Amino acid sequence: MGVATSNVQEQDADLLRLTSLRKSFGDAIVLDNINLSVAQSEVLAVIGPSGSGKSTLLRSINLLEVPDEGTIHLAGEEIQYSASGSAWRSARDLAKLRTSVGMVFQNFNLWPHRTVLENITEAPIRVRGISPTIARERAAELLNMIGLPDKLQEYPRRLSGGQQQRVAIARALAMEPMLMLFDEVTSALDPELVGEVLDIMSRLAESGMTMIVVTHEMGFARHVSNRTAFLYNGRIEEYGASSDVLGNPESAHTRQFLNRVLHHR
Amino acid sequence: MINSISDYIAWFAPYLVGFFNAAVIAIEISFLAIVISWAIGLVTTLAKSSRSRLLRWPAELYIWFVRGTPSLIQIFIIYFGIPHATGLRISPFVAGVVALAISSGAYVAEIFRSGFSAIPRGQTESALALGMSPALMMRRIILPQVIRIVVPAMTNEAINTLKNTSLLSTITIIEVTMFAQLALAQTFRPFDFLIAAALIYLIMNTILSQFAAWYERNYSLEI
Repeated sequence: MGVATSNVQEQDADLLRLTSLRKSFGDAIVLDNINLSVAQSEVLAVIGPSGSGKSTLLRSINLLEVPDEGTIHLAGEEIQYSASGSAWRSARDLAKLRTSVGMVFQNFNLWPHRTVLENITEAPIRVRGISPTIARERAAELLNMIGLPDKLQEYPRRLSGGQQQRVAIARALAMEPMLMLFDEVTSALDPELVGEVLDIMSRLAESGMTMIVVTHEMGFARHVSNRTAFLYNGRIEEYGASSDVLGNPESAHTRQFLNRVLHHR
Repeated sequence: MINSISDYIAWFAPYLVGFFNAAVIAIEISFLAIVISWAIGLVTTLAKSSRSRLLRWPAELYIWFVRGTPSLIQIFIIYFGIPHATGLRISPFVAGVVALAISSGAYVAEIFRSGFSAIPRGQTESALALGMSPALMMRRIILPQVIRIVVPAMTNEAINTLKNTSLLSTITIIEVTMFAQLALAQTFRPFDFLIAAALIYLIMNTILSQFAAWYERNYSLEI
């Protein structure tokens, strides 16, 4: 464990690499030998039927979930899990690793007792020790970017779902993460509010942010993501360039899934 | 002897000072007991939800004991029982504060528990995902929300504690009930003094619940 002394001469472009990741809840195998890597500025879409392990995969990357076995390489850090005594990490250590990864959730999870501004500045000030003045300036910039410059002093409940989710994205970005994780971030939104959130994600991708996006929005996956992974029963059933996986899938399961999703619309 | 309202007021006036002092004692004891019971309740809840049995079992034992025994017996154990068994001398005031705090803490713990369980998991997860330590998350994100949720139930519990100060008349504390008893023993006018005592409890509790209502209006989560 500890800081991995990775070979600098190897020109390792991968920001994130998962090796042989396994996770089960009791008898149910949720992640089964997952191998996956994401390069700097790459956008990876993760699709698959519900219960296929997509969320658990994201949550493992952010260390909210503890895999049973496997290795996670994240920006030069290596975290190993093994059946015989997983790598134990202190809460402080986990927290430090998490600051380099931003996560946006299906249900926004904004803090209702804090204003939009406070939601965004809380972690930068308290966790990263940034001065409140600078944190507020940065929050104002982020609110501009997500098109909500006048909502600074508003409480989350006064915002629409789409607005709340945009604030949640801004909140994660305020920590200046190297990698952004999106866990079905439009699934809880009314259909007419989906577009405004996807727009911001597209702009983020264009700006070079490395992203992993669990989504049911096939249009988004096809047009914004470079690569797509199709998860089925905890395994990566199909993986490749998004145009191939979504346009010309090899696996019968992928075809079935895509048919169901597309006809449903 | 008492023929007019002015006569009555003149007769009763000397007792007002006594009642006032008795009410001050009741307020002091219940204020301290309430604040301590919050600390006991919070620690008990956290211990009870801990993964360690060493923390969980004492918390469960405490709640089980306090909920299953009368407050009066708890007061007697602390004021009469413990000094007798240990030789430790406890003043009535301290015994009263400690007994009421222990007696209320178990209920406060249960109130906190329901408050914590009302906070969605996503609140914890988003805080952790932003790199907060569990302690920081508790202090800045979870507790402030829990407190807003538990205010109504906590107010009830505080009122209970304030009323339970009357039980301390049994351990020589001259609080409102004790003072009323002394006065009626002197004058043989139980009605006057018991009604007066009831009014004093009413006034104190009304102020307390008005304060709680004000707090709720100003600090409740926007819905």
